[in-house]
This record gives sequence, C-alpha cells and structure tokens, in this order.
Amino acid sequence: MKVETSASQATASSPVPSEVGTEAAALRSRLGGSPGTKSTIGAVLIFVAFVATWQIVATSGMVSKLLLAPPADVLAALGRMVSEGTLWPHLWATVQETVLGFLLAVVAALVVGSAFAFSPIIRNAVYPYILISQTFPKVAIAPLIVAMFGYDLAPKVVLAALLAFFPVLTNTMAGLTEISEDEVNLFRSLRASKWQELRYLRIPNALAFIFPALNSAAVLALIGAIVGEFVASRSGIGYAIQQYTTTGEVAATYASLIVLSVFGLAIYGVLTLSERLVRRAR
Amino acid sequence: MSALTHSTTSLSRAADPSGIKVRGASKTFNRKGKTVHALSEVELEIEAGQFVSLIGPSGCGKSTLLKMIAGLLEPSSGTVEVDGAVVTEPLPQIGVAFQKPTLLRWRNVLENVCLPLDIEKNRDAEGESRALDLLAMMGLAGFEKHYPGELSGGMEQRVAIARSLINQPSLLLMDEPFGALDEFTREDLNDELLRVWQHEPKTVVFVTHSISEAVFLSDRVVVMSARPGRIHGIVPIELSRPRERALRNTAEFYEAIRHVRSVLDEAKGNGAAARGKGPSDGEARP
Repeated sequence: MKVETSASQATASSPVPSEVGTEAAALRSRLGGSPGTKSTIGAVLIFVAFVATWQIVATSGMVSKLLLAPPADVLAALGRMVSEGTLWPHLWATVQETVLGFLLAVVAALVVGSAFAFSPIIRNAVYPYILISQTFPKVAIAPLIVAMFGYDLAPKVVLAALLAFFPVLTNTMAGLTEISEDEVNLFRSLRASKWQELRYLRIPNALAFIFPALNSAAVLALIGAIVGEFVASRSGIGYAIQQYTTTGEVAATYASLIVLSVFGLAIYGVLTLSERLVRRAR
Repeated sequence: MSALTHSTTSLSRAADPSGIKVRGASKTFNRKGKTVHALSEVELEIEAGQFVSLIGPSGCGKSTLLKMIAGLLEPSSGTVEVDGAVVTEPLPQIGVAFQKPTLLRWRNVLENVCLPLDIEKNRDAEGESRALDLLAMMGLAGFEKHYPGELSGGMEQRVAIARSLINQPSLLLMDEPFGALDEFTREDLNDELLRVWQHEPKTVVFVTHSISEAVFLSDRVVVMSARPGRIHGIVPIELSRPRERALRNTAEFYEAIRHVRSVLDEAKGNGAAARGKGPSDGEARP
C-alpha cells in the first residue's frame, strides 16, 4: 500500500519539473542562446547605457563643462593626442616607471622573502619593521622621495617599487613556509633532498601565492608612478592629467584616464598570460 | 580487470616483504615544559608479508609508533628494526600513506602518482605505465589528467595510495588513510587495498580508529592503550583470504569484531586506571 502511494506520487510529480525545464529551455532559446552569450549581450548593454548616460549628462548642462566632457569630445581628444604624437612620450614615461618599479619590487621581494622563509632568525629580527612600514601610508613620503631622487625617472621607480614590494614579499614568505606537516613528512618518507623539496613542493606552492600578489603589485606600481608624477615631473600620464586639468582641457583629461585604464588592463593581460605559461612549463 | 592481466610484468618486480622488530621503544615529547609519554616500552614483532593494524583510543601512540617505523620519528629509547637494520631515517623500501591525501594540487593525478619516481630520478615509460596500472586497479582509469581539486575525498585517497605503491615498497605504512571518508567509500577502498595487496605481497602496518576496518583487513590487530601509550594485546584474525565484500555479513566477521572490541574495552579501562597515577596527559602526536 505504502509503496503504491509513493510510486503514484512520483509519477504525478515527475512531469512537473520536466515541463518547467522545457519551458525554461524554450525561453532561453527565444532570448538568444547560452548563458555565456547572454552575459556578453548584458555587458555590451551596460557599456552602451553607460556611454549614453554620460553623453546625456555631459550635454544637458546639469554638470559644468569644466568638470565633465561628453564621450564624443573625449574620443576626439584621444584621437588628437595620438595623431599629434603628444600621447606617446607621456605613456612611455609612465610605462617605464611602472614596469621598472614593478620588476625592482618583485626581484627584491623574492630575494628578501626567500631569506625570511629560510632564516627564522632574520625574519623575527626584521619582520616587526616590515609590519610597521606596511601599515604606513607610503604615498605620504612621495615628496621626500622626489627631493632625494630628483625629477626624472628615479623617484617614480622608487615609489612604484615601494608600493609593489609588500604584497609580493608577504606572499613569497607565506608560499614558501605554509607547508603542512604531512607534506613535509611525505617528502621525508620519499627521501627527497632539500633541493627536491624546494623544487617539487615549496616553489610550486609559493607560485600559487605569488601570482595573485603580482596582480596587486602591478596595480600598486602604477599608483606609485602616478603619485610620483603628480608630485613633480616633466612627463608621464599623471603629469599630463595635471597639465590638462589646470589648463581646463577636460576632454583630454578624461582621454588620459582612459589611456591609464587600458594600460592597467594590458598589465593584467600580460600577467595572466605569463601565469598560464609558467603553469604549463611546470 | 584488463589492467590486472596486462600489468603483471610491471607489477611483479617488487622486493620481498619486510620484517619489523620493535624493541623496548619509548617516545617522550616535551609539551610546554611537561613531559608527555607517547609510547612506553613497546615490544612488537611483525612477520614479513603480514597485514597488521594498530588500533586504540586517541593518545595511545599508534601514529607515533607508525612514524617511528617509517623513520619519521626517532624513539627516545629502544630501537626499531626493519629487515634487520635499525631505522634512523626513512628507508627506501617503504611507502607511506597519510590521513590526508597530501596530493600536490598543481600536479595532475598521473604526475602525483609519479612524484616518487621523479624524486628517485628513475621515471621512465615503464614507471608511468605502472602508475596507470595502479590507477586502474584503484578504480581511477581515465582520471590521469584530472587535478586533485576536481576529485572527491575518496578519489584523492585512492591516488595517494597508488602513489605510495609506485616504488614497489616491501613495507607499506598507512596512518589512518580512510579516517576522513564515509563508510561506503571506506569499504570500497578496503576492498581495493586488499586486492592490490593480494597482487603485490608486502608487509602492511595500518593505523585505524575503525574496529571493522581493522578486522576486515588484518592478519593481526594490535590493540593499544593510552597514557602512556603501550601495547595492550594482539588479536589474531583468522578469517580466510582472499577476503571479499560478502565476508562483512558473516557471523565469523562479527565474532572477530566483538572479540577486538572486548580487548579494546579492557585497554580503555587500563588507560583510565593508569591515568590516575601516570604523569602523562594529552594527545600523543608530535
């Protein structure tokens, strides 16, 4: 008796979800394809809506022309900067500062991080100061650094490196030392040498920590470079933004911001690509 | 099953099983200034080719004893001998499986199984085909290219066991390898472990919390008591081999479980009595 009821319940209830399923599928195909395509369409719609709102707000007079330029003007300004060649020296300066600062920070952080990871004595002696300097807002010393290193490339590289250094340092340390007791015992039971433990366990483990840190380090390096340019410089996108703002060239200011955003995306792309290459090489 | 037949060549070059002698082995740890007696005067002899389980309440030092046989811990006094030689570091003829699968998450399944070959610098086509055979035997054919993150806990532990077997150890040491798995998965893995063991004879020392697992797998169950950790008694399990799933439903199986449980209850009683006068306390893990 009991079996019968449950069986009839099952037959009675089973068509309902399947009907819902087919309906949903039909709706989906009517709306145009897979969830992936829908997301793409959504993203494009958001972009169009954003630009349209921007255009409307900028041309309606709600916001002063000294604060906001319409997208069409921004695009025109960008075109002028490219065709007149004023963009390239500025972009090149910022790229140099950011990349050099980033590389300097990464190399220093890998060396210092490894030293800390393998020598608890060094780590315990130095780490409190690292912690203090990490909580310290480093952009505050930008004017001092400019005073020390002059107006050209050096102070921006130093500032970029200073900002980018800490996330890589802490993640290098964590990646090399956060190894479980079981993992250590596994390698001991396999009679692995210290070098093999490093090669097969600690370095690959550290890479998983370091790559995400590189992304934030790159962004921080760019911030460092721009702040350095704001304080004192003769070139760079940050310098250009300041010039355009003071001379009231609103469209060119926004165009410079767009250039910065594209540069940031390019860094992100290069890092993602290199992470994939390193993973494949392993 | 085809894996079993074509694999006989690559699976059969293992050394003879190892014999183990533990003589008066004790282990004490220092915990916050207090001395903890993890193991006290353990005497144990394991014949070559036997499957022996260590069972007992937590704090009885069964993991400590296993790690001493593995050469991962040194006894404070006494000795552990494997194949007649005193163990001072991990020996080349052992394979170890831990409670956690401990797979390297950036290596796929096949690469994880081949890790011991990489470390021994003798990885070749033969070794890789043996890895594939072991994976097939553990029910993981077709999963070679998967990464640990894509596997269930039971599958990860199967990979870890295949890894512990890749070097044809003559002594397999397993520290509660199935402790974190549900009962159904655990029984499947018990069946697979026995199948591999039947195929490649070797000495196995197996730490567990589960009485039925110990009975199903072992020739002898070593019952330990806690505080200080010592061997309380050894129960021979005289169930015929090969042991299949159906054995779990037989009266003899239940009888053996009942027997081990009664010895274990005795051991716990002893532990409680000893705790009153003994100076030691706490979980006996390093």
